[in-house]
Amino acid sequence: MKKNFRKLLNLRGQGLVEYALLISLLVVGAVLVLNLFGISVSDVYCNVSRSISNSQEVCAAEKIYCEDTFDGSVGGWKPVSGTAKVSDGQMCLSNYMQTLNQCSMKSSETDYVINMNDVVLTQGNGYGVYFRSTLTNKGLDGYVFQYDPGATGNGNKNGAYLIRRWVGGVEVTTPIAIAPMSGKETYNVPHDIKIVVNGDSYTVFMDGKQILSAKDSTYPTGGSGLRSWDSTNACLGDFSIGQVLR
Amino acid sequence: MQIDESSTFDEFLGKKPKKLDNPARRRVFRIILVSLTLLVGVIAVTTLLKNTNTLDILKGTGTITGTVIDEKGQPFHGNIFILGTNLSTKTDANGAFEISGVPAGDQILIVADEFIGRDFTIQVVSASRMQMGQIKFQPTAIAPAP
Repeated sequence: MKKNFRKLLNLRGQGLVEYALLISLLVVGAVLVLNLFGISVSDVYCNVSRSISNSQEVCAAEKIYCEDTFDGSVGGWKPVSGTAKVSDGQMCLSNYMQTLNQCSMKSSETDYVINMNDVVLTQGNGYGVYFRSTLTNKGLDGYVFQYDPGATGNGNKNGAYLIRRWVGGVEVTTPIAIAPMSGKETYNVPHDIKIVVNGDSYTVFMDGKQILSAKDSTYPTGGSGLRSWDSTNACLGDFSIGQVLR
Repeated sequence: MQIDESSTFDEFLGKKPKKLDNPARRRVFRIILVSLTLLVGVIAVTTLLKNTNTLDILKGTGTITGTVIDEKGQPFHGNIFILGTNLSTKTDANGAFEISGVPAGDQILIVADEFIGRDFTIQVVSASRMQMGQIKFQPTAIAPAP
């Protein structure tokens, strides 16, 4: 065997085939390494193309998977508890309420961006946005981002932005990410909320500024929804779920 | 034309030039090729294990037992979940629970009433029975309205 191996190492000829094999192995290796770190080759291609052409339109024209501008009824939403109200191009949540966006719950997309414009909290302890959520026979499983001025513990005197997991219809107490609220413009000021759900990374932006990020792999799939609690009154102008632009 | 690129004497005479071969260089090339093949193989297997639950299956499973009491020291009646799995059970009349088939490794056990779930990080050892002892369940400070 050792002799054969030595013989193989000293074989003559087939130089071109070996070079081709070497290059293909390097390519396969590079693709696998990128995959291991969660980087899509097509995204790398798009980024390179985009940087060369200096245009955002290469590869990734943002697709909208689900959209609701609240011009009609609340029919696109499935209530779990309470009932949301739609009027004057707004959807309003009040008190203890959970509702799921039916389109996103039926969608097979796992990575997406949730955009909510003109979200105003007029009173109460806050509202939440579910993502990667599924409704099982035991209850809701998934994540929630909470705009939570009521979460005043642990030195967060003005409340906190946080991301929590839900299991079997209950919220898990320890958040996977938390950041203090400033206490300014908490109530009666419209905010644009954007949640980027990408692989095991979740990033929340408010008015274009990142306020929170987390990494967790408990829930790889699922749709979106909204929640409110206690004496909350919150309304939003529109809601959409689109493609992640990488 | 450089002097190195000029015809050899054999070529000048119309004879087929002797092919130069460097066995040491060829050997190094083949060693690199074999090493690269092995490396790509290892990366491929790692990717496969990472992207599937094969590793969890290979690790095996264990059983978790314990008893939950409420803030008054009474048996707690609620649900037990293992986060990220379909495993769940209910506590019995004495607040005791047993949950088997839990994947080995770090897991998060949730003790839940109808509103919140308290999380406990546990380490499950394959083919073993882990006794968590007595767990005190603290209800939420702010009870959500029904």
